[in-house]
Amino acid sequence: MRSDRMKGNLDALLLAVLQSGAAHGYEVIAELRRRSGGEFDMPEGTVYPSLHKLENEGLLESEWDVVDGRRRRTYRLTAPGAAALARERAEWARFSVGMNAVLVGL
Amino acid sequence: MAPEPIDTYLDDLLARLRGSAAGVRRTLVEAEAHLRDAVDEQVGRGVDVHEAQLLAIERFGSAAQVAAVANRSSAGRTAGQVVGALSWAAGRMVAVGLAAVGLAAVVARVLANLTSTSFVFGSPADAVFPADRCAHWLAVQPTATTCAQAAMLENSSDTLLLYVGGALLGLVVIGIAFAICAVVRRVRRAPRTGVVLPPAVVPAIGATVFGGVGVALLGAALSDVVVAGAWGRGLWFVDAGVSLVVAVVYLVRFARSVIDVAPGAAVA
Repeated sequence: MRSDRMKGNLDALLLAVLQSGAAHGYEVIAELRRRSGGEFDMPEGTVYPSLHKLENEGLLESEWDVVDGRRRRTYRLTAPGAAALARERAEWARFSVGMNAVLVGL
Repeated sequence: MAPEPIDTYLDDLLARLRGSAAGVRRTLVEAEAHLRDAVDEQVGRGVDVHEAQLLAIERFGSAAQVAAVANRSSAGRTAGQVVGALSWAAGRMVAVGLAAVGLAAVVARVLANLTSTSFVFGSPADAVFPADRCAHWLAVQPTATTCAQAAMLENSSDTLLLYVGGALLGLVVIGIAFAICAVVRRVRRAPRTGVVLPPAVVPAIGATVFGGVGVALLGAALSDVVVAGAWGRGLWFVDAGVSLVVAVVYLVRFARSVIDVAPGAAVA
C-alpha cells in the first residue's frame, strides 16, 4: 500500500494495535505488519515519531523497561486513547461504506 | 576493527536528529533496541549477523528519512501550539514589563532623593500653567511654595501611584490569566512553551523588545535634555535604564541558549 495512503491513518492503526495490550515499538510494528498481512509495510523508524506524538497528545503513555537486557520503551493505551480509537473506528466505518458504495458499488 | 553497520547508522542518525537532548536520546535508544531486535530475529532465521544488520537498517529506513520524520514530530508544532506558546511567552513578557514599570517608579523616587526631584519629575522650564491647575496642585501639595514646585511634587506622587498601582493591577490580572491557562494546559496536556519553541526564541524577542524600547526611551530622554520640552527628563532616563537592564538579562539568556557550554564547565 502506498505510504501516503497510510499516513493519515497510522495513528488509528497504532492505537488499535495497542488496544490488545502494552507493547514496545518493535512489537507494535511487527504486529501492525502481521495484522495487515504485510500490506502495511513502511520504514519502521518512521513509526516511532507517531508513537511519541500520540503520547504527547495523552492518547498513549509509556515507560522504560528492560527486557532481555535491552532497554525499551513500552507503550500502552490511555482512556482518552481508547475513546479516540472508538471515534476513529466509527469514522472509518462511515468512510469505508461511502468508498465501497462509490468504488465497488456495494 | 570496523564499526558495526548499526553503530555507524546510529552515529549518522544522531548527527541528523534535532530537538531536546531527552528527545534525541530517547529516539536513539529506541532505534537501537529496534534494530538489535530485528537483527536477533533475522539471526534466529539463520541470517549472517552482518547481513542481518544491513537488512534491519534497510527496513528501519535511512537515517535521513527517519531523522526528517522525527525532527518534524519532535518539533511537535501545530499552528495552534505555536500560537499558544507565543501567547504564553508574550503574557510572561508583559508581566516582566509591568514589573519593570513598577521598579522604574521606585528607582525614580530613589533617584529623585539622591539628585533632585526637579530633575526626575520637574516640569519644563518654560511651562505656563493655568491658574486653576496651580490652585489645585498647591492645595494637594501643601509643602509646595510655588506652582512649579507643586506641579513637580504632584507629578512625583502621580508617577509612583500610577506606575506601581498600574503594574500591580496588571500583574494580578496576568496572574489570574496565567493560573487559568495553566489549568487548561494541564487538562489538555499541552506541551511546555520550551518544548514547542526553540529555547532561544523568547530571549531573543525579549532582548529585541526591551532593548528597542530602552533605546527609544533613551533617545527621548536625550532629546528632552536638548529640547527641554517634556516633564521629568530624569524619569525618562530611569525608564530607559530599567528597560535596557531587562534587555541585557534577556540577552544573557539568549547567549546561554545558543553558545555551547565548554566541556567540563559548570552548568547553572
